[in-house]
Amino acid sequence: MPNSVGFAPNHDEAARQAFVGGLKGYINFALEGQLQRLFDEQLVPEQEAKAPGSLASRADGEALLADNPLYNLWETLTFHSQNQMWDSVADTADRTMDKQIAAFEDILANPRTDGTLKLQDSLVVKAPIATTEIHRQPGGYWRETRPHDLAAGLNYAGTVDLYRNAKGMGTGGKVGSDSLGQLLAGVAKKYAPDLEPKAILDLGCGTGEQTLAYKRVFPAARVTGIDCARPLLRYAHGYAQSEGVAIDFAEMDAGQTDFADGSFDLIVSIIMFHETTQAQVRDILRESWRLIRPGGLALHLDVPYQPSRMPLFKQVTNHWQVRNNGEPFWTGFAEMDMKDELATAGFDPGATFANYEAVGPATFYFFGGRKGVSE
Amino acid sequence: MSEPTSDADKATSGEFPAGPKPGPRNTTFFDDPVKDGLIRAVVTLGTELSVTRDRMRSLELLLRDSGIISADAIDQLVLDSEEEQARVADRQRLIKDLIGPLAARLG
Repeated sequence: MPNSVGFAPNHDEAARQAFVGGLKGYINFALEGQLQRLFDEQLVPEQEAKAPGSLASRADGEALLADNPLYNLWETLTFHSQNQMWDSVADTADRTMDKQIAAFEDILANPRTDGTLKLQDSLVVKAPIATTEIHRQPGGYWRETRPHDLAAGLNYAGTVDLYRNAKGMGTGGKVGSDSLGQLLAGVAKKYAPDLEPKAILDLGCGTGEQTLAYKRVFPAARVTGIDCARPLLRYAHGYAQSEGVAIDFAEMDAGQTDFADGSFDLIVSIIMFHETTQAQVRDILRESWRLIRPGGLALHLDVPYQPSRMPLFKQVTNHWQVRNNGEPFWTGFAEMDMKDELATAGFDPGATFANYEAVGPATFYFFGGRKGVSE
Repeated sequence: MSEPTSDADKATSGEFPAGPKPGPRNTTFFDDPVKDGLIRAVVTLGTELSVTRDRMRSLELLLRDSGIISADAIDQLVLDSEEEQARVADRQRLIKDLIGPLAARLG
């Protein structure tokens, strides 16, 4: 559509992105599976025979694999396919940028819903978003080179489902799918079947596709999405308006918002916590406790990579992503006890949860809690 | 709704946010980095072969379904000079993209 904001690859770009998605899926499953069998069935038994008890830690596993040529092949292909992913979506973003910005400016002048976009020049983008190319996205989430820049949003939006599907964390969604938001909304109904939210806050909403799901599932609610990455928020606003869904987007730090106490009765996030530091995880949980109304629910979806449930091999390959592929906080998050952290932030320990939900081949980690009616 | 107008000022003053410091794009993992380069070149070639195959299939489907050309029309095609030059340039760029990173690694 000429006046819509959204990631729109042409024939060859879509073909290239589809190949890269297929390649990443092959690397993550077929190749990594072969490597895991080699590790578990040959390398570990040989090492244990030579030096019993010498594989006690992730570092021991890393040392065992470091010079193995199959591991080196997995490493170089994982790294290269990430480069290819960003290159392939940048083709689409660069080609469509002028039209996308024109559509965004048309939406600013002629809004299609009463959803809003509020940006704050005073907001200082903090580390790690300020300092790290998360997922190795060139320019990160906040580089801008022109007025109303949408590049970071377009690039991010183009990879979301490609990346998740290739990691087995997708629900088969295409670009723009709100399937994870729909999943989270369904889980919210399970944890709080009596809750009819009137005000919903989506933390770290990014490009906003999942934020739309909450308005679609709870149409009576006012839905707000916040993020500290301005180009992503522009995209989110343009995309929501293009889809005719009224969402309020605002540029804010999830650990220090401008909202009054008790402003929301459902606070959600999707794969935000593993992209930030442990200190900021704690800030965000404390802020969530302040913002949630009595009787309200906080519910967060994130990666299911807690070391206690990961075999040594997966700890090694996951930590490789931390060191080499723009996931600097994956391990730090996974090592936190989120029920303890929720309780420290103010939630009643008896009303918190941290569980795994399987959807087809994918498993998701859900954690959160309810605020008592009298709290 | 408020989109600050200060962006326009930033455009003229060159004050747009620079984003984080660029991360590594050329990390290698084998004992000899040429191995990484060769493997990546092959994968990139495979990617472009797949894209080309998809496009050919789409094109041939459209042409066949719309009855525009016969099945042997491609084999009968004679290129004009402009088209020939464009193809030469495309080939040269592909060769440079394939060999350049390897040559750079080897000094």
